[in-house]
Amino acid sequence: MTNFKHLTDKEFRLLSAYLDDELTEQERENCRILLAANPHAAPTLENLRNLRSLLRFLPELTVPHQFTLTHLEAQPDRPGWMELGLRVLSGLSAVALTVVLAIDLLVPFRSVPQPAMVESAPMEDVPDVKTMVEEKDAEEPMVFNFQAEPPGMGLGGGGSPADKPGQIPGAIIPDISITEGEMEEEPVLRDETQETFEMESAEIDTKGDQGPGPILGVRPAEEQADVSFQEIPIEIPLPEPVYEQPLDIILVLEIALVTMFAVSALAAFLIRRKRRRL
Amino acid sequence: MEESGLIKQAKQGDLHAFNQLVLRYQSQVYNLACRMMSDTMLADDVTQNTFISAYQHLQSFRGGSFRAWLLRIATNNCYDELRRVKRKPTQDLHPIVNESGEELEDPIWLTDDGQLPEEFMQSRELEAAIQRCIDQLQAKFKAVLIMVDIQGMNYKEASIAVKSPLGTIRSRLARARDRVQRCLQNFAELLPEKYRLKDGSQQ
Repeated sequence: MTNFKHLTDKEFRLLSAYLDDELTEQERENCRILLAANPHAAPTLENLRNLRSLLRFLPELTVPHQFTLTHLEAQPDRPGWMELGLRVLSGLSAVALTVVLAIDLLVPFRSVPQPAMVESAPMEDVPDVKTMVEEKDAEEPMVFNFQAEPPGMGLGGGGSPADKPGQIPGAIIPDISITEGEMEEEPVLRDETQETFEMESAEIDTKGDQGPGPILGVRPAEEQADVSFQEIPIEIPLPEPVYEQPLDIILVLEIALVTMFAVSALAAFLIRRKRRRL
Repeated sequence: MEESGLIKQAKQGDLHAFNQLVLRYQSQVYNLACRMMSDTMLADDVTQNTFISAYQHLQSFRGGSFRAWLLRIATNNCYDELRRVKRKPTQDLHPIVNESGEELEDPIWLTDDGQLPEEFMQSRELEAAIQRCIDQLQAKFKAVLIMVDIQGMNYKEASIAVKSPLGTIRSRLARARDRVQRCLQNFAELLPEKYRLKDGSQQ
């Protein structure tokens, strides 16, 4: 909306152009209708006419001097070889960058080299787990306590002194087998009713009533079927694998072209600016 | 010699012929630049650059109104210069007024060495007021207003000069007139009676 509250913006533009006689015949007819219908149109047109007269009142300023050109001023504004070369370089790098980007974007199955391990970790760097377990056990030995229990009860279930001659009478026969690791020392029978074994095995499998096994000790009834052991956390430091990022030629090319374009374009712009200021 | 003949010779490298064209249009280019820039020094630079640029690119002139083509170059130079000045303002173009309302300094283009009679002073003040109202316009509105209302160009020439369609020229001119008219009401005491807004059209 125009600031003249009684006329719309369109009507004001119509009156303005009518003043300059820049309307088509149809628009001129519309303007005449507007002037006849709206009592505010005629004063507005009169104000516009006065404003134009006022603006034409501004005196023409006298030129301070002649602006005719000398031969020196009329010399063509040609860029130097340096500027020309930089422009060409920036143009070529822009074209090349476009091509490379197009290849990079439009070829979806371009083989992207995967990171590869440069070399396997040397075996000597891999710690000997067995040695570590030994060392750990030497510090904190795993202790198993077995106490005597009545015949026919307990882990040995069904075991009988009569079944295996030479075994301790009345002792249960737990089935202890080493599933991983190797027992290096035979369990030592310390006591008939409470035996302690120091073992280096990683796991002890106690079987219930699956037949008699070697007699290792006798447990009390309250500790039947309860083989307690301590978990010894073992941290095995593994060597860091060494990877080498493969060189992506396309990416390197893109970076190089962007840099080349930016530098050459900026240099050409600065030279041109300096030349035009001279 | 006719304008077309001078243009043809200038295109062939005849600097003398081109300078004839310069003499013919330098006043219009300079006045446009002065009104646009409100600074005679900048207007001088713009005018000189306009003619240099016109000579160097004369081959691109394909006929039509040479004045419109020349003023287009001048207008573009003014836009560039206005942008540069806006980035690096150097001098206040308007009179500096102290607290009591006394004018301390005139714009450069209004300075006059002689003793001024009262009537001349009033017309100068009115001129300054008009220029101040024009200065408040955006450059694209200012250019159209100067070309059409001050320099008397028609809409077609103005559209060539500012490289915009006729409808845009019409719209910009109407808006520019509206704003200048409202601005001038702030200087109503300077305006002759006939130039004040008529009742019925005011807000």
